[in-house]
Amino acid sequence: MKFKGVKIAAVIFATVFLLFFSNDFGLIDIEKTAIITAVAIDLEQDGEYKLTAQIAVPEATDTNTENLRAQISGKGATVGAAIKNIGDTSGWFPQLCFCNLIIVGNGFSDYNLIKILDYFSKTLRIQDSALIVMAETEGAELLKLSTPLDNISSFALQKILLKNAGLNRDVAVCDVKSFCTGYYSDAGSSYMPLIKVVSQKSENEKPSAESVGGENSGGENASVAGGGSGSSGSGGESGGAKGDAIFNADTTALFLKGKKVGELDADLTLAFTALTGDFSTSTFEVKNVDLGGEKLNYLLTVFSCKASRSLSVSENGITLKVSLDAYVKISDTNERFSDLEYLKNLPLPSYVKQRAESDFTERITDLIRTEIETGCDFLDIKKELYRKHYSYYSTYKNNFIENLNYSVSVNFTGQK
Amino acid sequence: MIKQLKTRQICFFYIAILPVIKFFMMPSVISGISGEDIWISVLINCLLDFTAIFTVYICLKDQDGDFFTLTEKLFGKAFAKTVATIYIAFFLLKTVMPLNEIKDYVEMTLYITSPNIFTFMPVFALIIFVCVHRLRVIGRLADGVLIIALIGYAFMFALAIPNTDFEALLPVGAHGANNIIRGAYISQPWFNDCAYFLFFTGEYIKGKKDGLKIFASFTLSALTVIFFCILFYGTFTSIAFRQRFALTEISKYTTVINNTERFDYLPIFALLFTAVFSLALPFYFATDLIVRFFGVKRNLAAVIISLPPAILLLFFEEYFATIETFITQTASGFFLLFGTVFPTAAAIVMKIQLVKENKIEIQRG
Repeated sequence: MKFKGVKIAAVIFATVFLLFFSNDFGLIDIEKTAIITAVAIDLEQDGEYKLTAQIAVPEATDTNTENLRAQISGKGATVGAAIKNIGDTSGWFPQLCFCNLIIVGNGFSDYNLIKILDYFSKTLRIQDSALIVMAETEGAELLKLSTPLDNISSFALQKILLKNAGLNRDVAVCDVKSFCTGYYSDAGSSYMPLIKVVSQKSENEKPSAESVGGENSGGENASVAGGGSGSSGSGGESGGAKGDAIFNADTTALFLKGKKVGELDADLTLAFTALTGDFSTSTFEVKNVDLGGEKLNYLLTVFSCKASRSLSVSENGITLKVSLDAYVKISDTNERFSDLEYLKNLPLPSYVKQRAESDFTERITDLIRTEIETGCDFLDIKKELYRKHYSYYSTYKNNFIENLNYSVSVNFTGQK
Repeated sequence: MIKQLKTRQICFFYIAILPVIKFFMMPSVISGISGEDIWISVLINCLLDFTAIFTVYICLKDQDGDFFTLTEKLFGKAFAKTVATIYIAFFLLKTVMPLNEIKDYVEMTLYITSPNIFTFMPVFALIIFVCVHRLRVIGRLADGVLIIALIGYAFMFALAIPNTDFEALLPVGAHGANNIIRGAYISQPWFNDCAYFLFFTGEYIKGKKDGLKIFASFTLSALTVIFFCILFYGTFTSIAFRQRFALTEISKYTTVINNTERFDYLPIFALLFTAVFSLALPFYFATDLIVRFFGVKRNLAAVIISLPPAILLLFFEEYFATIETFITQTASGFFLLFGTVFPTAAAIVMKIQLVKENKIEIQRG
């Protein structure tokens, strides 16, 4: 009898414990919850922040998937206040735990971004593994855009930020944690992708972002938009409602002490990801290779890549040695009567190898020059100096860029 | 005299129950001072604890009865009562930080929409439930939560390791001896685990190589904490000092989590489950001392001990910043004194006294 009582008590305890720690006592009405998938922050003229949240609204019907998309805006003197404003004016509790994307508007170009991004690193309401990007336009515009890639524009954007294996590693991805870690490091340097909107239609038939997004004003401080389908027609206009905009994230914005100080173009971003991330399966073009007076183009696929950076420090200065060794194959060429097939194990022609190596050496050299010009230590030279050459840290911590010498070595090998 | 514990249970106690309470706020508090030398500060505290446990074990291993029984036997009732009173205060102070950490954790991560102190109050029911039992309950808890804790550790570490920048711990010692020692000092409220061992010595069924097993399990427990702190600092580097709840933070950057959402909450729940029992320990031992030295019934003693922390949570929440500063700054010396120095010194004095008494008895024939 006693044993039975213990068993019942154990079951009750386990149930209560599970409910307690899974927040089932704190559940809020799902119909009053806005599940936010992305937020965009813009700077208003009065210095306040406008935070636009893209929410997934659960619908009873799935006949019109565009209904899944809607935006709510809130305004406040701090990011936290703007989020609070969304809840206060809409009656929806802004649930941020599924928010994986934070878009910063172009109005923040001359602004210390940590003032807005710090909130996301401190709060437990949003995961600080959420991606951060800067928009070339207003941040909210990216959320309003209709794209053929996905019903929810932020999901489309995330597809190009976190690419699947087999696609080019041409985006310098950044999340809340890495931005803040960079900002609070001694170098105070960070970076994030700069998002450009590319229209696939010709200029004369290109719709404006506003007409695609369909924003409707709502209260003094808040506005609620009716989703992508709101103004651009109902399901009947399916083709037009989808829009034509796609995103480009292969440019990287550089930040020093939270302020934007420069950019890396697509070539330099690719070189940067080659040095810092997994470059395998990426492709790159080698253009205008002169072969007997004919200009030829090649597409090379990287099968394996080993990048290394070493820093040697002495009283005479700092020397950075960058080396990149990659095993590549020709995927395509416009050479006539070519025998260079992807599947054939043919050696890499010396003229392609030399041209590829010189191209990449130039890109990496430009990368280092950009670091020197902008002062943004995206190559982590100061971090390396602190961690591995601490005895020289006090000597060079304020002038490591002035004392930087560098050499670049790139070696591409093909089938041997 | 029936022994309440087995050596195995003491080992499981150190491996499973003790490390997890150090996974909440402690790493961020230390990293705010010691930076990348966080692991050295933790190592210092672990070595201090190890020395104290080692000394107490070596000096009192052949005795029947725990440290407090021996104190009464050798130094008299009044002295033992004074020591017991000090340790009741010690354990009550030791409840403050973990209690607030777990309460904040529950409120800020699980009940963010409706944080309410009463949501947390059921935890006291569990604490009182543990407190009303005899020492055997600690052994049974250790047996019970071992698997849960080990699964939690294994998952947590496996998820955190791929995103840890181990080079972030370089250069070693750059923050200077002063900061490293200060980091060790302010984290005293989370250490001084020898105080628990004072209740175990003489209270377990003796077997072969007990000492070796206990020291090995304590070492494993210490390594778990050091490794967790390394993973924590390697994950957050320059912003580690701002990550108040290390437990939920370190595992979420894995690619798997990005693609599948937060299934790491499963090991987190496992560790949270263990942490609640870890939280009950100081309550339990304070209750035990009240029962033994002040003749209060166990049920009543459990309620009496639970009241001050509950009142602190209910009515003095707005003073917690001051309380936290007091506990980590001023009270740290008290923790070090009675968690490490006093047990070590007292065990040596007891050993000398026992040897003397033994000689006198031999001389008397």
